[in-house]
Amino acid sequence: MKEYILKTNNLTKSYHGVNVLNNVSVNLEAGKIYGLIGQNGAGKSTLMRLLAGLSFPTKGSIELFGHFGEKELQTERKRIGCMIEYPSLVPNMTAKENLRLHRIMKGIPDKSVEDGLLNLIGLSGTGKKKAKNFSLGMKQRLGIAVALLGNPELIILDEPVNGLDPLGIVEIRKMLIKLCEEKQITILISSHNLPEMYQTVTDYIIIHKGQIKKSLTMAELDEQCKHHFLIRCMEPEKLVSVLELELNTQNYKVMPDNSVKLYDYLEQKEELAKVLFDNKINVTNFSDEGNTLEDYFISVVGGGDHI
Amino acid sequence: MILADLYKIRKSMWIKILLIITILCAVSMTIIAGEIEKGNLDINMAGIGFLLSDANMISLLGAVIAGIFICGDFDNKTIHDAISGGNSRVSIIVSKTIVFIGAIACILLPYAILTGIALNTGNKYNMGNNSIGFLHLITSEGGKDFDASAVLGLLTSMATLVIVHAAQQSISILFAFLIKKPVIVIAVSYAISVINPRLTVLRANSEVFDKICSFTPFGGDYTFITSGTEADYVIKALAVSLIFIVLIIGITYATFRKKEVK
Repeated sequence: MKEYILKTNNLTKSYHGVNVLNNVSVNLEAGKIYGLIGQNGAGKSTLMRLLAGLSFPTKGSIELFGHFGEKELQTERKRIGCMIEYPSLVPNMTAKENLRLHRIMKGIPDKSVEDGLLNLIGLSGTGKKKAKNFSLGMKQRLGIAVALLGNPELIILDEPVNGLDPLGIVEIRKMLIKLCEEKQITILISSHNLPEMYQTVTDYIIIHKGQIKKSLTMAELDEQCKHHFLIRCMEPEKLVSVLELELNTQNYKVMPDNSVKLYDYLEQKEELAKVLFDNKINVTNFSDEGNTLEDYFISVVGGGDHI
Repeated sequence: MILADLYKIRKSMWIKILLIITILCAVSMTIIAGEIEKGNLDINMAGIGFLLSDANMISLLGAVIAGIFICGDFDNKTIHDAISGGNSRVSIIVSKTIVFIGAIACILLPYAILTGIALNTGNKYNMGNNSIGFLHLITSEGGKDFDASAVLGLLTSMATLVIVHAAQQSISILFAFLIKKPVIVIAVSYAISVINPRLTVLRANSEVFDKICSFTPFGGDYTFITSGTEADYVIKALAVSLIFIVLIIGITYATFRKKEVK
């Protein structure tokens, strides 16, 4: 049985009778980077706020590191780091003073972590500059540093690359991947930047209108997005033998609904169609498929309504 | 949490500004009381003297502290981080209360020191009928000789006054956690402080109300403590104030326990 860092069971959150989260069940494993993808108002921040204890579920439960219950969750939250919506910073303090405040708050005696984290996020040269004078990107970095205090086992980051310049985005991405790989830290990250997510996360959770629409790994997503012909016919066995014997390809997959995904002959559509026709394959669907992450996301959350 | 709050206050500019304000007010109040007694200033100036007194200033500045110190933490999400970092909501409230009382004591310190200096000169002071708190100590004890026991009594009464003031202002903590908007917290808290002296009139007309007020730091009773006040009464003042603070912590926790932190 798999051990999960975080489990939510049918988590529901209502405001004035309207469900902003509806029976959300997610399981996060150790050492993975989960991307929480959803439109504005999909429920990403609400889910993260519930996990962080800033809000309480109307129904359902949260399990952190195998523990549940109000008191237990409070204790287990000492093992997580969060940055939800905006970084928690005191404007009149410097980067180091802000880190010190949060270090004291978390009861971490080791002062050296302050300089270490400032170096890690590239803010060691800010000196006496107050946080109120920081750019949005610098504030985001400092917020991430605050979340990293105390070597958390789970980090929850809401839109962490918001406001970062391209170089900053790359640095943060590298840092998150490194943390995940070297320290087996689990990261739950939400973002609108889908191409960026594609380069960072290992698993995707697609949320729409408060419901989890899809949870899939990077490999599964690649599979979903891989360019192919989707062929449906009355005799899939016959189709498979034609593909193997007439077209000499085994680069196909028979799906549970008996449709066939063909990954070859992508540039020879007419030749493929002719062979199928000549072999009297009764084709009911013959379409060119394959998505970008954006296309896939749109198809999952409900197609053209959301474009 | 307490250490973090103390660190934040130590690094903040506003506590230094408030301290400078109370130093100036304490000095001015003492000078005005002295000059009125000498006849150099008209007794009508007592109103201004009262405005500068600890009772009035702490009503305003106490609310300002709650507004900046607690509401500010909601604004910059320090409280959010404390909660998501595994701190219990009650520990956050208790920590804020302790540091808030510390900050109140800190900005009252100039009044206590000025009171000590003023009484040490042996001069008399007068503020008409407008003297409560430390101002009352100055006007009622001015010109007296102090032996060791009287000095001890004076220090006890000063400490008691600080606790009574802190208890009165603790209501701002409840408002800060409830309302979270500094301007509204300051306005509501100060309005209550303005109503506070009027309670004396109501107490005279209602025995029940009088009884209720005696179990709160409001109503004026406990701000007239001097070195000559009986120990029983001082203990009662301390007990009422401390119980009131605990009660406010309880009410604040009850309202904040399951509240969404936005």
